[in-house]
Amino acid sequence: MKGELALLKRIRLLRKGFVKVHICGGNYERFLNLCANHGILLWDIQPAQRGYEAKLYRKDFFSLKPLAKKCRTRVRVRRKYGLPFFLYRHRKRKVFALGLCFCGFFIFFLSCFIWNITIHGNLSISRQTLMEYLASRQITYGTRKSALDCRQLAADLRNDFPGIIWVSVRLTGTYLQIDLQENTDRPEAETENAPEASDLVADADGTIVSMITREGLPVAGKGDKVKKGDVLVKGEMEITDDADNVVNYRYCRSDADIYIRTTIPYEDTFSLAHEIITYTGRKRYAVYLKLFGRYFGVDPGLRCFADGDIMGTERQLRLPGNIYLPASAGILSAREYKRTVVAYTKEEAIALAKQKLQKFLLENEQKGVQIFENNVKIEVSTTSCRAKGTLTVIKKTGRSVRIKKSDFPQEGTNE
Amino acid sequence: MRKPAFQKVAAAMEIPADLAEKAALVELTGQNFLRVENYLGIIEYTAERLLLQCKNCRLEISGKNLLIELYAREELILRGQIEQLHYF
Repeated sequence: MKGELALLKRIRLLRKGFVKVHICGGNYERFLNLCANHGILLWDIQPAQRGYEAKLYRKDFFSLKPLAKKCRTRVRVRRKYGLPFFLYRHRKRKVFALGLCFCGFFIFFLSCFIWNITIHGNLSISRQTLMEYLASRQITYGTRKSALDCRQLAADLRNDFPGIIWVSVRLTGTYLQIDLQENTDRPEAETENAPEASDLVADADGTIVSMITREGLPVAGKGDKVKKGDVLVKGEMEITDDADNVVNYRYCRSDADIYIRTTIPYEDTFSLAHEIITYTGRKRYAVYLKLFGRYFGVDPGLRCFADGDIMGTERQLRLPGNIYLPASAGILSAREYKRTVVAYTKEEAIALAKQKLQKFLLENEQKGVQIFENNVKIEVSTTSCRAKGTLTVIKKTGRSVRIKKSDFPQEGTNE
Repeated sequence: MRKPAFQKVAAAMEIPADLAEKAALVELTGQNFLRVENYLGIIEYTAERLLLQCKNCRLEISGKNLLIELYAREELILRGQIEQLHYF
């Protein structure tokens, strides 16, 4: 706050214009007192060269003459500061002034549009989806700020994306910021889209190691060997009379946690010969300016290297106070490299094959698959390396399959 | 005789002396910042000494590198290494 006040004070001083004067000769203490009594504000008074140096407003300087005459002091201007002096000095540079005015007007004009959109907090809804949604509502880069209703947009986002439980839309300067929070506790899509009456069938061959049925009639149990497509839990339950005749059916959406032990094949082959890239150290740089989607810049031959890569960094230009401009500046750098073909040694090839296998196992573990047994063998020939075998895993199974209802009226209904 | 009576009334009403008698009001912050109100004028000013005329006394401020940051009719702000304040 103190810093802001000092800055405002400084801006006010420069706007009004002030001068640094040297006061000497005569009775200069009396001169200072007369200035104070006539309402002339002096600051930064310090003794200098048989007199004083002080600062005062430009308009007050013209009132000093009679006071100086009365005290027989001499007042000399040492330095001038501020906008009035700047304008006077550059009074003949009309085009410059015009350019300055045009620049100010142009920045004001640009500040009426949205030039930056950020979205935070989206997990399952991609930024592209949200940007397309905004575009469908005519909200994109370059949209007029007055055309945007933040409250309405937030409400529409909540309505059109049921997964969003909280959303905040803020417009600061030319910067549109959308913060949202998604519901991470939503039921799985499969359950939502599952048919009304369904069986659970095995999606791989294997042996059931664990089975907990929540709804439906289990037709297999722990230890049973099942094949792909076998029904594990039935969604159709027969209702019989005393003579064991089927009189009705009850249908439900089967639901169970079924884990089976199964084997999955694994094979990975790669050539021992491979290319490695060595940077030579030769670099080239280029700078560019992107204005309204068009690129302006100097290309000093970035593509002169036969083998090289080009990398770039780009930053959107902005004024203080989140005023983003439709302009970006960037630097491109091209680096030359050499390709060399080398062959893996046997140890390197085995290590690489193991690394790939570990990555595969890790990816499966992240999906909830437990690795029970690993029967993968790595063989290295003169030209290639091959990892082949099977993995015994315990994984969740059970795919919902819709049931065709029989003609019997369902129990509990009036059909 | 009027002055003591006025002073008595002011004291009875608990009016501060800087309002009632226009006594010099000196605000010293640390060793480097001094603000003076209710003074009449500067008698002498150098980088080592500032002598002020107040209504009932004179105030001498001694120190080093004394700089008058603001000089107006109502107040005076002094910066520098202040070593001594002397009323006489």
